[in-house]
Amino acid sequence: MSNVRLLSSDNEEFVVQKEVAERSVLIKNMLEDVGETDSAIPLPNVTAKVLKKVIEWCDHHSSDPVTTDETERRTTDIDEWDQKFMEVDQETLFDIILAANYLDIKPLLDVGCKTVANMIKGKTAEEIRKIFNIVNDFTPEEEAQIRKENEWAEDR
Amino acid sequence: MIHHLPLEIISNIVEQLDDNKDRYSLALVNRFFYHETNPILWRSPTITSSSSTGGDDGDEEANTITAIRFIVCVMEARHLVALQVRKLDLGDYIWSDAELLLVTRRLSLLEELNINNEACLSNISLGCLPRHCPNLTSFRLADCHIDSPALFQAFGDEDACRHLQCLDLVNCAPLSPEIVVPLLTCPLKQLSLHLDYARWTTATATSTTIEKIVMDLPRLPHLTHLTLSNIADRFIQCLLTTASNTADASWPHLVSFRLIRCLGMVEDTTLSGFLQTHRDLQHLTLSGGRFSDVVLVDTMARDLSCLSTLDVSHTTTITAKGVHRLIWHGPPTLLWIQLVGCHVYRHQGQEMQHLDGDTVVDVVDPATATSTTTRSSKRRSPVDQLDRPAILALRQSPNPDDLNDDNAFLVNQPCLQW
Repeated sequence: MSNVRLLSSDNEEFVVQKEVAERSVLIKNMLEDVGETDSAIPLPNVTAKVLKKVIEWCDHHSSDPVTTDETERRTTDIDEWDQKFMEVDQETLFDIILAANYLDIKPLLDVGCKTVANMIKGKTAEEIRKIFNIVNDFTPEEEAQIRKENEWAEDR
Repeated sequence: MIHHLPLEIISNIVEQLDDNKDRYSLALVNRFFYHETNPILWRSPTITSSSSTGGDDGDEEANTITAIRFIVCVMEARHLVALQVRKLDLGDYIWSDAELLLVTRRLSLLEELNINNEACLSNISLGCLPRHCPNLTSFRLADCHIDSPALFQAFGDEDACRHLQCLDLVNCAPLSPEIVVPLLTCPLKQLSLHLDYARWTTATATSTTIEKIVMDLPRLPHLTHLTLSNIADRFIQCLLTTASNTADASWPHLVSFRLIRCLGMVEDTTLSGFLQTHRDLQHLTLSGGRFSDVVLVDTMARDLSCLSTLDVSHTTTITAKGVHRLIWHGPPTLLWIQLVGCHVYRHQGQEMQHLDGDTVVDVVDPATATSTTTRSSKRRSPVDQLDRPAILALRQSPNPDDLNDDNAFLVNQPCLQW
C-alpha cells in the first residue's frame, strides 16, 4: 500500500495511505494526472487542524462503498460515528464542510450539511438567528409580507 | 459565519430540510436566507396539515384550513413565487373545480400533480389542466369521478401539454374509450391503469370501453413501465397476442410490466409469446394467473436475461420445482421473487434450526394454512417470498431436476438463514 504526502496551507505535512487520500476526488484526479510522485500535494485551502479532521474521517470511511445514487446518499441518516465526529464548534464544522467541498468528498460534505440541517430542524426563525448569530435585516413590512406569502406553511 | 458558505452548500443544507415548516422558519431568518429558501419552499408545497394524524374530524378541519390558506396564498403570491411550484399533491382536502382552476392557472410551470382523494372534480377543471400546465410530466388521478371524455382529449390539443411521461389512473370512472389516442402526442413512458369494478357497474358500455382502451395500448411505443390491474382476462389475452404479433415488439423499451388480477385464464403460449418479444424486462408481475412452470422454465429462464424482480403471487399452478429451476437456469440478475399464495413450501429439516423471520416472512393466509395442515407434516412451511440470500442459497443447492417433491424447496445446507 503506497502512501501520499499532503501539505496543509500552514505547511504541515501529513503522510496518508493512498486509498484513504483517494476518498477525495480532487486528490484522486491529481494522482491520476501526475502519476507516482514523491513530492507532497499542496492543499492551499485547508489548514492543518481541519486537514487532520478530514483525514480522520477518510480513514474511518476508507472501505465504504462509493454510492453514486444521489438520492440514496442524501436521504440516509448520519451514523453514530459521524455524529460524534461532527460534535465540534461551529467554526470547525463550517471549515470541515468547506474543505469537503474543495477536496470533493461528497459523503463528508453531505454529513456536514445534514449536521447543519439538524441544527435548524424544529426551530423558529428567532432561534435559528441565535444559533448562527445572524442579524435580522428585514423591515417589519417585509417580514409581515413574507409571513403572509407563506401562511400555508406556517405551523398551527 | 454560516452565510459565508458558498451558495451551493447553503442550498444543499436547505435541501436536507424535508419539512416545509423548517424551510418556512429559515426563510424568515433574514433576506439572504429568504432568497435561498423561498424557491425551495414553494417547489413542492405540502397541503396536508402537519398536525393531522389521520382520520378524525379535527384533522379534516386542519387539512381544510391548510388547503384554503394555500389557495389564498397562491392567488395572492407574486407571479415569480407561484412559478416556483413544480410538484403538487392536493392532499386530503376535497377540492372543487373552481379551486383547482384558480390554482392551476397560476402554476404554469407545474410538472407533477397528484390528485389522490375523492375529489369533486370534473372536466371543468381537469380539462383545462393540459393548457394551464403545459410542462406537466407526471399526473396521478385516483378515486375520481370523470364525467366526460374531454379530459384526455385536452391532452391532445395543439397548444397543450407535450411532455406528459407518467400517467396513473387509479379507480377513476367512468373512463372514456378514447383515453389513449389523445395521449399519442405525448412521450408517455409510464402508464398505470387500475380499474375498480364497483365504480364500473353503474357505467354503461363497460366492456367495449375497456376493450378499446386496452387494444389502443400498443400504440404507445415509448412505454417503459406498464401496469394494468383488474382488467378482464379476455382483453389481456388479446392485448398480449397483438403486442407480440407485430414484427417488432410493441414496446421495445419496456422494462417493467405488471399485470395484477388480470391474468385469469390467459394461456401459456400467449404469455410466452409476449415475453419472448419483450426481452428487456427487468420487473415483472404476473399475479393470480393460471400459467404453468413452462412459462418460468422455458421462457423466463431462457429469454429474459435482465429479469431482476418477479411477482407471481397467487399463481397456484406453478410449483416450487419450477421456481427452483428458474433460479438455477435463469439470469443471475434475478434477486427477488414474490410467491404469496402460490402453495409452495420449504422443508424444515431437523438440521435447520436457524430460521430468520426477517428473510422469509411467513404470513399464512387461510387458504395456505388449510392446505399446509391437510397436505403435509409440520416440517413444511409456506414460502411467501425469496429474497437475495434465499435465491443465492437455492442457486447453490442440488439440481432441482433431481428433486422428488414438486411443491417444496429443499436446501441441504444446515445454516442457511431463509
